[in-house]
Amino acid sequence: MLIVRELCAYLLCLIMQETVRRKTGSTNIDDTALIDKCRGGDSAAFERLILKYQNRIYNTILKICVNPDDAAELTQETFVKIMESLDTFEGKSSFYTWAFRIAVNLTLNYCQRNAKLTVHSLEAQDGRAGAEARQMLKEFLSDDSSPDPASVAQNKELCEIAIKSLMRLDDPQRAVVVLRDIEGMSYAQIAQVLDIELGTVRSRLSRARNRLREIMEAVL
Amino acid sequence: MNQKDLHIDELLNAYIDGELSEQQQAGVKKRIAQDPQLARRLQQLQKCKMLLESLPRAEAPAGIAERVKASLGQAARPERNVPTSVPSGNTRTIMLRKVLTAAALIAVMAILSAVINMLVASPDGAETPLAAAPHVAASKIFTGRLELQTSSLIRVDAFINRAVRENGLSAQVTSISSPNKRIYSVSCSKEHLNPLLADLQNVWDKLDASRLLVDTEQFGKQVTVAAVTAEQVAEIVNQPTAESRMEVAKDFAILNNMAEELPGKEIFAAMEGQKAGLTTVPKPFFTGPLEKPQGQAPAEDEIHLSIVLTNTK
Repeated sequence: MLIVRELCAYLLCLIMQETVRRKTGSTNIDDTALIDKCRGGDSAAFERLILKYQNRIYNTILKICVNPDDAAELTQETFVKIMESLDTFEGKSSFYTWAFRIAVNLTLNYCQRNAKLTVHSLEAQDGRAGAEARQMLKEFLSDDSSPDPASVAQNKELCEIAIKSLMRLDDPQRAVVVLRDIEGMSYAQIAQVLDIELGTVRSRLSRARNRLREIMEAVL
Repeated sequence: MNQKDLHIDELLNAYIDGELSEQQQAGVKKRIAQDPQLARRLQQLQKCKMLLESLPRAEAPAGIAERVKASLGQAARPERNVPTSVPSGNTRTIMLRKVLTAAALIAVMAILSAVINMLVASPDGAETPLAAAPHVAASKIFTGRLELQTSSLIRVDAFINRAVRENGLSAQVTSISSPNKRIYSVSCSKEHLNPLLADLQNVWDKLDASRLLVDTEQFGKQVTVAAVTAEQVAEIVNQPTAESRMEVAKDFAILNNMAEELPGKEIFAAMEGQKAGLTTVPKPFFTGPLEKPQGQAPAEDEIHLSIVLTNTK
């Protein structure tokens, strides 16, 4: 019985550590060692660095630029640029925010170049939300109870509306929402990644969520 | 929404994000308890946030690490202006290469004569036969289109943009983007184009196909050089007159077509640096400034080149 309790406590501890790691992105101890090895030309270390961050960077880029092929290429470009600029990384910020800064800058530049295209493709998709999906969104937004996040995640129609609504935000607003609500960064980390003031993060996020809400209501 | 509402919204957002101090949190909690409208607003924001947090997380496609390593490997290739050197090897290997090259040259010359004869004789030849070349005025201005196809559109696009920027050509290049295409219109002098082409050489292996269309002064007539290389583009562009430009372009067109048809393309690879000018001898420099004829004013915007980059995915 004692062993089972200790095992549970150990597992709980591991889960908490992982949660904290995901929230803060604080992987500095491992990263520092890996970065040193990369600078020394250790390609295995660089591969580990890529494997460690590729999913998070890809997911963030994809949620900003929408197209999976472009997201894959931008992710690749991000890591190429990371490796090329590794010597300029001074460690003033964490590697995590530095790497995301490169990724988000590349993605926003890409979005800027393709702005007209994005608006066009969205216009073509307007009005596709079916009656059922709209009803689900209406229930979700008007329900006074707090819905279970897991059941929300399983609701494909709701997720689709959320993604389409996200696409309607302008690029800087979408970036701040993605970094906060999808990547789970703190305001301070977002400020570092986007190179803006903390107050700007706060106001931009607030405006973005308001706009998102308006877009969703317009779907109904 | 007025300024006060905006401030309240910011506070509510920071509250649900856990970004307030304990004192601020307590203050917001108190206000929510007293104001049902505020409580409703908070709930709306929380749901909005929850919806986004619930979105499925996408995983990166397999092979990113390998592709990044491959890109970095290519980037580490010799920089521009560094001549392609003979790989280090023993004397026998070098001798063998020389003998092979000489043999290949003789074979190419023989086939070349046959092909030229065939082209001249054919009324429907794909390329304009040399004998029937359109009259070209001795214009110094080059106009043409470089068509590039790639499956790495973003990477090549980023590379070209960087090359344009780093060579100080931003003012001379305008670009248009569409989903699967980028068009760069370059209007500059030869001296400015050379370093850009030298940079582009480093991204040539990312291309699936390349083609240069050199405008003639005869409307609708162009000389097409398929499978063109950056060096060949530079060589054509650097010719002193439109006439010699045409000649060199046609030579390259024939040579490249033959290279595609001939078995054992590696022989051509071994001849790198020598294939130019088999029928037109001068071998212009690639990256250096063009020596201008005495007594002539410096050339301004004598190159008008459209680079069309197309996605093959």
